[in-house]
Amino acid sequence: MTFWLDLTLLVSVVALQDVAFTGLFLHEWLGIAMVGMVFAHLLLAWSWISTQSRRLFAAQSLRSRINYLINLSLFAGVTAVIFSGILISQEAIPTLTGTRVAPDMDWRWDLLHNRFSQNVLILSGLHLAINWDWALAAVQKLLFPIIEKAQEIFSRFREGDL
Amino acid sequence: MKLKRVLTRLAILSLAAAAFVGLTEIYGGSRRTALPSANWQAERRHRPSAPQGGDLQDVVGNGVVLAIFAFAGRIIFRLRLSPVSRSEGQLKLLDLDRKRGAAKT
Repeated sequence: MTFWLDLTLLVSVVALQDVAFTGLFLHEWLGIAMVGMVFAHLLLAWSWISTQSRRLFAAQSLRSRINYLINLSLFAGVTAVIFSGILISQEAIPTLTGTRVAPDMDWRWDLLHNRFSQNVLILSGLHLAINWDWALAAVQKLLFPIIEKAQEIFSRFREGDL
Repeated sequence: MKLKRVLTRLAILSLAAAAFVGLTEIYGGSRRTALPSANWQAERRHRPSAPQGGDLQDVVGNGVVLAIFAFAGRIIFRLRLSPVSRSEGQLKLLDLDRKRGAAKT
């Protein structure tokens, strides 16, 4: 479940970079859905968060410190993107709150929303890099039974059983 | 009991998110940004509500950017942040270092 949630988050981060691809409607609702996905992701990683937060000022490896910094920056970045997205929302938030769409766009928040989302993309890449071994193990665990099954079917096919 | 624990964690996460929202608001309020070009404004005002399938190459481009940073990060973290040498690391991975230590004693 964790793997599928993480994969959905990663795909969403990439898809949300381009409004024209998803359309504004899906872009905004998927952005709001990210709140739930990020919270679920953090709840599933709670043991790591609590352990590392307690050890924050204790002696620990450079890797752990950088990992913590990247994750904290990513959380801050995602929060900033969602918050700025809510401020410039033209579809989802007016529907949820029953208010009318602002006649003119707040360009400052629009530009910041773009900048924050680019930072989130970069930080997601670094987050993936530092958790690469875990991601690779998860993919292998998921794919190996499928490959084994395919090999079994192929060998049965060659032997003429199928 | 478990629900209470989850709710407490959610409250902590919400507090942290609220703190970041406050910081974002301060940052956004302090920024003086120039108005974007007329073209940009026109484009942003008329963004389609429905998906435009033709922009797949932009999404692939963003995927490539993410992959580049993941790859670059992987190299940097592997080279700079791993004090253990690769051969020693391999031993650790295979749990051979402990076995070798046990054999010595």
